[in-house]
This record gives sequence, C-alpha cells and structure tokens, in this order.
Amino acid sequence: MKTYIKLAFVLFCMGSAVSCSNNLDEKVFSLVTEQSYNYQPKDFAPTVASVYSYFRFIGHQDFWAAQEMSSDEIVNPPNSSGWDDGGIYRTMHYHKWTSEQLHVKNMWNSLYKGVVLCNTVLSQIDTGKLPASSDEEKNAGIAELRAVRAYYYWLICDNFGDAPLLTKPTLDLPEKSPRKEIFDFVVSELKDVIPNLSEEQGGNQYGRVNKWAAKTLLANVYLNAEVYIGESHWDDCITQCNDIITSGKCELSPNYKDCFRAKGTENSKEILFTIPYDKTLAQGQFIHMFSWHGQLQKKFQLEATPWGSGSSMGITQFIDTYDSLDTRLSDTWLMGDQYDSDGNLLLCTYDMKGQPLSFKKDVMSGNYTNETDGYRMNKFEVVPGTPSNSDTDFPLFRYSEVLLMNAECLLRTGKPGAGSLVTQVRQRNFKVNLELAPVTDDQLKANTSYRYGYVENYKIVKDGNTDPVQFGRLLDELGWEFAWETHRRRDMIRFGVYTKKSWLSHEPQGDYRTVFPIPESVLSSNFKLTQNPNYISK
Amino acid sequence: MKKICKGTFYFFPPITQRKKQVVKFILIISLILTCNVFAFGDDIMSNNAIVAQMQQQTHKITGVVLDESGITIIGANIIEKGTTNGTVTDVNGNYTINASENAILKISFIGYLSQEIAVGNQNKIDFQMVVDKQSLGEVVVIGYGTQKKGEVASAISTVKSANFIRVPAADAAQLIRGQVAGLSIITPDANPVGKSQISLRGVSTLISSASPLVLIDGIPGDISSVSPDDIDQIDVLKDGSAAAIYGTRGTNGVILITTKNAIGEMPTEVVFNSSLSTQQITRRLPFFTADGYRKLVAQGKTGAQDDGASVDWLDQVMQAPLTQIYSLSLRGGNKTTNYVASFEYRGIEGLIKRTNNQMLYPRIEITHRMLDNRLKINVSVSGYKQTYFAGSDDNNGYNNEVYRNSITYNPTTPIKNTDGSWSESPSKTDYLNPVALLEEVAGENQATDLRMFASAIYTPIEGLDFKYLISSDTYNQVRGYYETSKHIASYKNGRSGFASRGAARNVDDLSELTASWKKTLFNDHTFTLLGGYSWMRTNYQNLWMQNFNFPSDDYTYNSMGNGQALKDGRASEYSEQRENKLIGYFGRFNYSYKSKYMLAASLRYEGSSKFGANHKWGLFPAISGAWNLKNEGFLQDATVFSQLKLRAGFGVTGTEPGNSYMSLNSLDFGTYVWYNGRYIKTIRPASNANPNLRWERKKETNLGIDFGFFNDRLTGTIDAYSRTTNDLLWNYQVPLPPYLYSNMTANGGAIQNKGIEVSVTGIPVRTQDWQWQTSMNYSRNKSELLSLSSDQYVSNNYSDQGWLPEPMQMASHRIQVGEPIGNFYGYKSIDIDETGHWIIEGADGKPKPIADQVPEDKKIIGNGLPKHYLNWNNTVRFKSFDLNVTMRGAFGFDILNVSRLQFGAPIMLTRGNILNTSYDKVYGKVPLADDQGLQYVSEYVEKGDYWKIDNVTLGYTFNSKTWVKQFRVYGIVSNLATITGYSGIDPEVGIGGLTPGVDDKSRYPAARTYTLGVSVKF
Repeated sequence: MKTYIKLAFVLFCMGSAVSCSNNLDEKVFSLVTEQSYNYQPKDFAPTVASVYSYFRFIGHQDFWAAQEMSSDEIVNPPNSSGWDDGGIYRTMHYHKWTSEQLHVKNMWNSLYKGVVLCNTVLSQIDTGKLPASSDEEKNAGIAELRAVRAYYYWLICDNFGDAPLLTKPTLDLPEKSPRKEIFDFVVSELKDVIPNLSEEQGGNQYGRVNKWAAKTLLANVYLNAEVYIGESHWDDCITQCNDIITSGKCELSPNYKDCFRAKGTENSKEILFTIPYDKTLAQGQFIHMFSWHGQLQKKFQLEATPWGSGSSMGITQFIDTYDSLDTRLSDTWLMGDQYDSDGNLLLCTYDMKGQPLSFKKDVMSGNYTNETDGYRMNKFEVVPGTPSNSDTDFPLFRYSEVLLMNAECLLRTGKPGAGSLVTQVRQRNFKVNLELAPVTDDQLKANTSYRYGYVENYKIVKDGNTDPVQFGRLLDELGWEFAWETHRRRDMIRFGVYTKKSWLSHEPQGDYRTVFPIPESVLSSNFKLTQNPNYISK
Repeated sequence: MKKICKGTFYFFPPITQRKKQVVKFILIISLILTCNVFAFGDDIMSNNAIVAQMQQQTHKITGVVLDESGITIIGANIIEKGTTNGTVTDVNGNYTINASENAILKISFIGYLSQEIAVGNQNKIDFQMVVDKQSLGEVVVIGYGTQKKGEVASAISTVKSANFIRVPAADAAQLIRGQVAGLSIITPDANPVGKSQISLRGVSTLISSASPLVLIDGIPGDISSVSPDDIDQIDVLKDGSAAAIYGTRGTNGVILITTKNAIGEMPTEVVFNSSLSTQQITRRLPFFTADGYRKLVAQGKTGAQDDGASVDWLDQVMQAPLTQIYSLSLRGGNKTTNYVASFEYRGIEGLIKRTNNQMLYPRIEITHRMLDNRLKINVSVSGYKQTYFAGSDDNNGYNNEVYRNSITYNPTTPIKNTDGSWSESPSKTDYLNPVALLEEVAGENQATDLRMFASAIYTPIEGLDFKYLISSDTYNQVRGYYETSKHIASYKNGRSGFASRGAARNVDDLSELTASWKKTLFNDHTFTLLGGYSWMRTNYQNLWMQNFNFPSDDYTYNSMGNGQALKDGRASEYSEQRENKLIGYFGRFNYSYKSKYMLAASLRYEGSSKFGANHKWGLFPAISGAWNLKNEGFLQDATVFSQLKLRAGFGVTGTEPGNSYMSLNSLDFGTYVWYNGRYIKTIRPASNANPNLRWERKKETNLGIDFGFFNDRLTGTIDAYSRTTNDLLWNYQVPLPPYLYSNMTANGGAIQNKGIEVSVTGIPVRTQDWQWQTSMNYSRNKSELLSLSSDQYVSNNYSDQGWLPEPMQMASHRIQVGEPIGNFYGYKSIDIDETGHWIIEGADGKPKPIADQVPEDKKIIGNGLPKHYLNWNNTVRFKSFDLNVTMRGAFGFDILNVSRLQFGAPIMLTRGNILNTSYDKVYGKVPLADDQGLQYVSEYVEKGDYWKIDNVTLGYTFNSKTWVKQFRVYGIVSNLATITGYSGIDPEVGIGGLTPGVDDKSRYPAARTYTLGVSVKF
C-alpha cells in the first residue's frame, strides 16, 4: 500500500511539474499583427501614404529599364567589367523578351502591388476599420487613393494591354479585362475624383496625386487613346491640358536642370508628379550606380563606387539627333574627358586600362562595348557624399509635358499653336542662342532626324524601315526633353516607330511587342489568365 | 532465482525465503555428503557450499583482461562456468579467482564476445576480448528508450565510440562520417567554424530544414554542442517507423547521441588526451604566376598591366595552422553515486591567416541511486564556450573574399604602394587587396552554450519506470566586427571606420514525462509499453547595431556611440524576439514472441505553434515488424548463419516550417513615404499570411534484412526504402493580383525518394597478434519531384534556384516535376566558332551562337547530387599497433566549377588574374575570344565522381602496471588523397538544399590535416 502512496505522490509531483501550458497560439514580440492592431485616426495618413511606395520603380531591373532600355534612346550593353547578367538588358534592347523577363515581372509586381494596396486601404476606410479624423479627411483620402489606383492602372493598361481589373480586396483569381475596360475605368475614376483632389501645387502635395497630376494623367490617357482603344481623344487631351495651363498654378522652371536637383524641388511649379527619393529613408534612385564608371566616384566625391565601368548609355543615333547648341545635350549626358575633383584626368581601369577616361559618343554595338563607349547619365544631380542611393527625386510628370501634349494634339487635329508651345519649352535651353529656340507648326510636321538603322562595330550596316515618321520633329523634341524619364517607349509606340525601326543592335520583332507579356509566374499561378497575343507560354 | 553471492548481497531476500534457504542448504549438504558427487545446479547451488566442499581442489588463478587494442577492461565478469563463483576485473584489468582444475572460466563484458577457457593447471590466464559488433544483445538507443539490437524492427544504425573516426574537428558529425549507410556527411571546406552538412536518405523537403533532429541524451541540441570526446555512442534512426515517435521533427531522421557515463562501483579513471595538428591546402588552382602574367602583358592582352612586383597572393594569406586539443576526463563512483567530469580545450587554427575557433567544453554529470535502486536521479551541466575571429560581419568567422582575391589579384601588383598604403583599385568590382582585407579588420565572435538537465527515474516495481526530465539549453552569443578607415569598404563607401555589434540568445526549455512498462508473460511474450508527454519551448532573441565614421580606429567595435553615422541617422539597428512551442503526446507498444516475431507500433499526437490556427495538431503513426529467422527451428542448427532477420516498417513523420509567425497577418511600419511635406512611416501588410499552414507529411516504407555468417565473422544489413513527402512547404508564387505579395509559404507538392543501403562488416583475419576488420557500406538514392502544386496553389511545375554571381546573374538550378532534385539548368555548349565564341544547342536541338541565346534554349546540363556513396573502413591490429584507413567516395554527379567559369576566360583579365588554362583551346579548336563574356554553359559542369583516402590513423599502445595505466600515441592524416577527374580544388562540395554541387569561387579552400596525439589513462 505504501508503495502505491509513494507512487501516487511521485506521479502528482511529476504531473504538477509538467503541467505547462498547452496553448499553441503564437506569442508575438517584435511583430504587430493586423488582428491586434487598433487603427486610430492618426494612422489615416500613414496608411493612405503607403500606396505611393510602389512608384519607386526606377531601377535597371524594373519599370525604368522596361521603358528606356527597350527604346532607341538608352542601351545597357555588357563590357569587360561585366554587365551581361544573363543577357537581360540586351534582351530588352533586342525586343526579345519572354514571359520570364525579370523586368516584366518586377514591373508587373510594382504596379499590381500598388493596385492591391489601394483596394485594401479603400476597403479599410469603407468598413470603418481605418478611421479618419474628419469626413473631409476621409473623402480627400478616398479621392487620392482612387486617383493613385488610376495611375497604376494607366501604366498597366499602357504596358500590358488586357489585364486583370480589380477594384476590391478579394482572394478570388481574376480574369483579364479588355484594355478598353481598363481605359474606361481609369477615365471614369479620374473624372469622378478630380473635383475632390487638392489644388495645392507642391508643398504638402509634393509627391502626391493632386488635381494637376490627375489631369496630366488623364491627358496622357487621352493622348494615347488611339494606341489603347483605337479611337482618338485628342480634344479631350487638349481640354485637360488647357485646364492645367489656365489654372495658373503651374509654370516652367527657369532652368531645365531645376527639376532634377537633389534638393529644393518641393516647391517647383513645373513638377506635377514625382517619386521622392532619399538616400536613407526612401531608397531606389541609383542610376549613377549603373550608368557611371567606378572612377567617377573621384569626380563626384561619391560615398559609393559605381558598379564596374557602368553601362546605361545613350545610343549614338539618338545623341546625333540633338542640336549641338541645345543645352539639354550636356544637361542630360555626361561626355568627354573626366577629371577628379582636384582636376586630375581620370584613367580607365578595365579593357582600356591606363588610358584617359573619356566617354565617346560612339557605341560599338548593343552586344558588347569598350570601357569608354557611350555618353552616360548627367541628368539627375548626384551630390557629393552620395552613397549608392541618391537623394534626387524622379519626376514622372512635368509641366513641359503638358505643353508638349497640348502641342501634339493641336498638330494631330490640324489646329495651329503647336509651334509656340514647343518654343516655350525650348527657350530655356537656348539661352545663349535664343534664335535657335523657336519652331513652327510646319517644322514639327517634318520627319525625324533620327538616322534609324542596324549597327555593327560602330557603323550602320542596314537601314531597315526608312518610312518617314509623321510629326517626327515633335518626337525628337520629346526625346530631348524627356530622355531618362521613362517616356520614350510610350512616345515611340504612339509615333509608330517602336516596333518598326532598327537602331543599334535592335531590329523589329513584331508589332505585338507594344505590350509586354503577362509574367510567367503570374500566368502559371492563375489559370484564369491567358497570355497576351503572340507570346509563347509554357 | 535465489542467489547469494560471496561477499556481495545484491538484495536481502525476505526472511521467509532465508528460512527456506537454510532448509535447502542443510538438505544439500546432506545430499553431497551422502552421495559425494557434484551436483551443479545454477539455481540451487550455494557458493558457500562449494567452497566448503571443494576447498582442497581449487587453486588461485590470476590474469589480466584486455580489449583488442590492448587496453585493459575494467569490470569484466569472470565466473566459473556452472557456478556462481565469480569476480570482476579491477581498475587494472586484473582479476583473481579460485577455481578447480576441472573448471571452465567464462569471461564476459558488455559489447564483447564472451569467451570460455578450461583452467587446467594454469595459474595465470589472460584474456583478450573481441568486440561484439553485431551482437544480438547489443543495446540500441531508440526514441525514449533502448532496445536489444536483435529485437529492433526499424532501420537504426549504431556507431560506438570504439569505431569513431578521430579527426581533430569541432564537430561530432565527423566521428561517424562514412560509418552509416545513407547518412551523407560532407565537409565542404576547412573553415575552422564550418559545420558538416548532414543529409539522410536524400532531399525530403524543399524549404524546411533538411538537418536531422539531434538529441544529446534525449535533449535537443546541435551536432557541435557536445565535445566529440564525450560521446559514447551515436544511433541514427533512419526510417519513418523509427523516427515517427518524434513526430513533426522526424522527417530528416534522428541522431541520438549518448554521452559517456559511469555505472556501478568503479575507481576513479582519469584520461588525458592531447593532439597537435597542422594543415596544408589540398590543391592550388593554376593561376598565372607573376612571370606568366608578364608574358600576357608583353602580348598586349586586353586588361593586363604590369605593376612591377611579383607577389604570390595565396602565400600571403595562408598560414601553416596549429591546432591543439587537450582534454581531461574523470569517471568514478560507488554503488549509489557515480560521476563524470571532463574539461576539454580545442584551439583550432585555419588555413587562412587569422581564422580560428577556440572551444572549451566543460561537463559534470552526477547519477545517484537511492531507495533500493528504485529511484535514480541524474543531474548534469555541460556546454561550451567558443571564441573565434570574425573577419566579416556575419557568423562565418571569415570573409570569403580573402581567398578569392588571393587567387585573382594581379600577381605583379605590390602589396603596398610606395607611400605605405595598401595597393587597391576601388573602381573595380569585386577586386580587393586580400592582405588588406585580412589586416584591416578587427573582430571576434564569442558564444557560450549552457546545457543543464535533471532527470529522475522511479521504478516502483521491476519493469515499470517513470521518468521525468527537465532541461534548459541556453545559447548566448556576442559579436563584434570593425573595418578600419584603411579598409577597402571604407575607401569605396567614403567612410572612416565601420563597426558592427550583435548579440543573440536562444533558449530551449524541455519538460518531458514518460512511463514505460516491460513485462514478460508466459516466458515467451515480452511487452514494452511506453507513454509520454513532451513540452518544448524555444525562445530566440537577436539584436545588432552598426555605426560608421569613427574619429579613431582605436575604438574598433568597442565604442559604438562614437561613430558619426548614428547621429546622422544613417546607422542601422535591429532587434527581434521570437518564440515557438511544440507539444507532443506519444505512445509505443513493442511485442516480442520468443525473440522470433517482433512488432512495434507508435503514435505521436503533436502540436506546433508555428502552424495555422486550424492546423495546430497532427497525428504521426508508425508500425514495424521483424521476423528473426535464425531463432526458428529450421535455422537454429544452420551453422553458416549466425543471424538472419527480416524487417519491415512504415511510419509517418513531419517537418515544421523554419520560422514562426508565417500564419499571421503582420503589419509593416518600416516603409517611409514623403507625405505632407515630410517622410512618414507608413502602415501596410507585411506579407501574405497563410492561416492554413501545416506540417509536411512524409510516409516511409522500409524493408530490411540483417544477417550474420560464420559466427558473425561477416555481418551485414540491407535496407530498401521509399519515402514520399506530401504537403511540401514551398514558397508558392501566388498570383498578384489578387495577392499583395507574389509569394506565400503554403503546403502543396510532393517529393519522393527511393533508395537502398547496404553495409557489410567482416573480420577476415583474427589471430592472437593480427586482426583485420573491414566494413563497407553503400547507398544509393533517387529523388523525384512528384508535384509542385496543390488544389489552391499552382505553379508552373518548376522553379529556378540558386544564383550565379555577376556578370551571369541567373539561376544555376531548376527543380522540376518529374525530375530529381539538383539539376543544373543552363546553356548546353557544343562547339566554338572560329572567332572563339561559344556555340550552344538551341531549344530546337540545332547549333546556334551564344549571342543569340534565349532563355528557352536552357537545358538540364547535369545534376549536383551524388547518386551513389561508397565508404570503406579498415582497421588492422598487429600486437600493440593499430592502423585505421577510411575511404569514401561519391559517384554519379556533376559539379559546377564556378572558379573555372569565372576565372578561366580571357575577358576576366580586365578584372584580375585568371587561370593559366584560359588560353587553352576549347574543343581542341581555338581559345575563347578576348571579348567572350562569361556564360553559364555546360562546359563548366564537370563530372564530380571522387574516391578519397580520407583518413589514415596509425597508433601504438603501451600498457603498464605503473601509475600510468595506459599510454597511446597516434598519428593521423586526414583528407590524404583524392582520386577524381574534377579540375577544381576539391570535389567534395556542398550537397545541401536545392542547389547542390556548386563549387563556389570563394569557398574556403579544402585542406589536408596532419595530426599527432597522445592519450594517457591513469
């Protein structure tokens, strides 16, 4: 009996010792969960603001590269310091991207993340989960979110054509909506919310979609309507442009460079929408890292050393279109001999080792270049001490674009006035030779000065398509004004040269390449989607 | 049985029994006196009676008992056969017994074959015991208990300390390398803080840990958290039926480490071990020397530049390392209390200068028995203290840029410029002065691991045990790293000094209650029942901070506040804490009929906090059976067989996700956006949470046969298995939209591994002076990805894995449904054109220039996982000499030679030194063109098959009767020779994860190790 008492005692002791909690709910320490977080009115602005973060897509493997490296303006060829990266940049140049192209995937992800997050926040406001301090704040927030969502959808419509159109949070797999539906959605959303958007230019609205940004956006949608839906909306575009022009809120900066400064752009009257960047808090502006030669660290007193001998450079044929007296040439491109901050000539370090580092206009090919080939980026200011991320913001809409869109629509609808609008934009770039600034309507109707053709070893060896480009002179003007600013692909498509002409190592690969394929990873995980026409999927 | 032994009473029988014995005693005395015959009867014969009767005929016999290597055996049993007259050997292995001339002495010791010898007129009889490796009586450690090897119905491999491979390494895995069929242990480099990669029976999981569960005396730990010298036995639970008792942690097998212990009365044994080692690089890659490089300059090769000096950079960063190991251990105790105490120092230096690893392992364990042996209490404190050089801001102990730059840095560049500064070329990507990289840093990582446990086993009645175990294992680490203002990173990033500090703490708490009951009914039916409850909690904390722009390099990492970057808002800091729990209820039933038919069944019901709310708990059953044919009547007399057993088992095990909190929706406050005129922290969801997250389920069937021939001179085991993991955890591409993020960790997909394992041990020679024991094992595994989708998550049935460095920047591997894990996926080079550019095979099978490549042209161009492993271990003993040779090989796999890919092309001359084979003709035609960019083509995927003479040990043992009982000296050469066609530095490359077979260009070089050691027993 004693044994059993002892046994019971031992069991009791053991039982009490091991009676640990069997609760398997996760205990969180350094995490805040959505279930537990109690949203307050002070969280309204930070939650709404979050939707802007996906605009930071200016990278050599993201949206920026898809717009610029696929154009006749910029190329990113390999050289002896590397820069092949599995051929992904060359593929953009050749127009031989597939549904697995990294740029396409990254761009899709950026744009749709923006959309999904807008939907989520709109629903949080709608259900009352995210309280606002006032109805005014709430309504302004909703308007802003819908405008931002329209912006993302415009870029989706522009880059992918038919695509999923989601306006509410859901986990149901979406189907593709026709490009026209997305177009209509963007137009109706913008029309709906523009009255509720702030008219303040710059200041608190800097980096946000205010009324003028939304109108520029709508103007852009109309401008490209023929590409998107096969019907023109030139006059609608003119209406939006005129609203902006007559508002008096916006004007051109005195100097072209003013919009690309590292500091002081917040109150610019020219910048209508921009991606604010910060070297620490909002990283992602690093064009200097992939365009510049490592030796330029000594010239610009950078904190970081650019990668290898750099790559992103101007295509010779594009550079050749510039008027040599147009100050945008030197404001945009880094050319010639390079000196360190003490004035000593910098030397090459790779295949031209020991020779002066001097950027030449000529580019051997899109397949391979020498260390000094090609003009490099000189548009966005990179201040001394800049690490691998720059402080310089990246404008997506500028007032000059409004003027040039207006000019284009006037030209296309046969109305007068385009020349004076273009001249207005040009004037600040011909301060010394002011007589070279004016252009006439007729001049703008002329063919492009771009000498298209296929290049081998620095020389054009095949002309390819030589059909004149209607309003080509205006296309040239757009190129000079907006080089590096992600406009070129869109403009080339609208002017009909993107899939027709040859430049550097690029030859036409078919009209279907005016839209990108749906990324393979998305297509394969959503059986309701079908690939865009002519693209092969596995 | 009623035994009364001379001098020692194990139990005092109850009074009533003693009365009966007295009666018997009188009766027997009468019988003997009457009949004057000996009537031996094990049960009834009283020793006193014999002594009384045979006083005249017995004489004293002495002797010593030694093991195979001549080491004395303490506590061996010597009995006069058929009597209870017996004794045990003392601390010197000596015994004394009185026995008659007609007697037969039987000597036995656990783990050795018993021997018998007729006494005759000898006064001195010495025994040399032979290890009984496959003995049916050998005890195998299974989950939560032990079992006789003969009754095991699962695939379990046991390696005893006598068979360990004694290399001076910081990691216990190497002790059993090549000893267990199916358990691949790879040491891809000689980094002194590197750990072995362990893989059992192929890849059974995609993103969860593939490491086996390691339990040290039942407590979860790491293979490196115990000193190799403290280990007595390692058991590996290989198949699902054995591992299922460990539920969600059992999929990758279970390694059970049993540490040395002391049992029963024994005088204090003191053992001192010491060894010294040094290393040399196994192979130098053939890069251009300064002279060779100058010839390239003279030829005007693009990028080559003569800087005037002649430097062998590899020599500059390598050293002849000295590794010292000293250990002291004590064991002893009496009938009730035993202790083990040890202290070990391992000071390991690496092949690369400054790399090292210093370990201190203390251990104390005390066992006490009380209440008539009914209660056994065990308390232990052990762990380690570790200190090593931190040459980079991580846990590697070494900056892997050092070795790589030492082979690629221009051999004509002086180490320092004339002004005393390091020669550097900051604008070149990945090009760093390797000597400066070593010298311009300060860093140390320090860690302590404290393992404590206490257990109590209460045995109220024979066969019934209640065990309660509580343990806590605390790992603490503090890190410090500094780059001076002369460091290249300071140069490149425009900073003056960079410091980083970090600390981590991990606590594993375990509380476990088990009860087991063993009962034999009607002599033939033996049951063992086990039931238990286990509760485990892991808490992990980690924090780090960085700062730069220091006023002086003298602070190094010791005064973090002095850096300017913190004040400028540019320094980063981080901290986190996570916790998870695992709770299990388990039971097992073992049944054996006459040791002929065995059946085992187990069940574990386990819950993990890491899973989604609806999937916290899972059930893991297992069943196995065995048929011991040798014990059947028809084979009992078949002398050729000494063992023959058939086994079959089936079990379900699981795998947990690696991280906690994946089923929760968390918020991200860390993204800044410019809003209302300033940067504000925004709020947004942090990931796609998956509330349906659950464990991976692996089902495994194992069939096995154990055999022994010629009285176990030849023994072996064959196992065949098929394991299928379902509900694989995978980072699924989920469609974006509707999801916010394009990945989600979810269950889906399946992978299958099938294989066979054969191990054979033989003793071809066994004479008084000579013994040769040889064992060989072979394993083959075939994996196939069955699916990479589920109802909910679809993928395109493949996923690209691995990442090749710039300028390739593309995936190296592809996993694909229907294919094995480990496929290399790149362009298939088939030719070279007259200008020296690759020609590849296009998607249509036709040749095309590499410049026209499109991703669709990529093909499977090899596989990095060895299909066959073969190991062969030999021990030869001649008198007091012993020689051990272990050899091992892996076959049927390919290696991606990244060094050759990256440095075997003329274009790389613009970025540093290259292999002197770079201008060799490709395909016997022309060399690669100077402008042929680096390409991931099949030319660089080489056959990896190798055969290594891995380890050769020669030892000599002196036995002495002085205060030094034994003295042993030995020498070891590890990684002695490799037979391979592979052109890289060493074909033993990583086999882990989904990207096996990559010979990384920066991996710490492989080394050959020479060791001299002594072992002294007092």
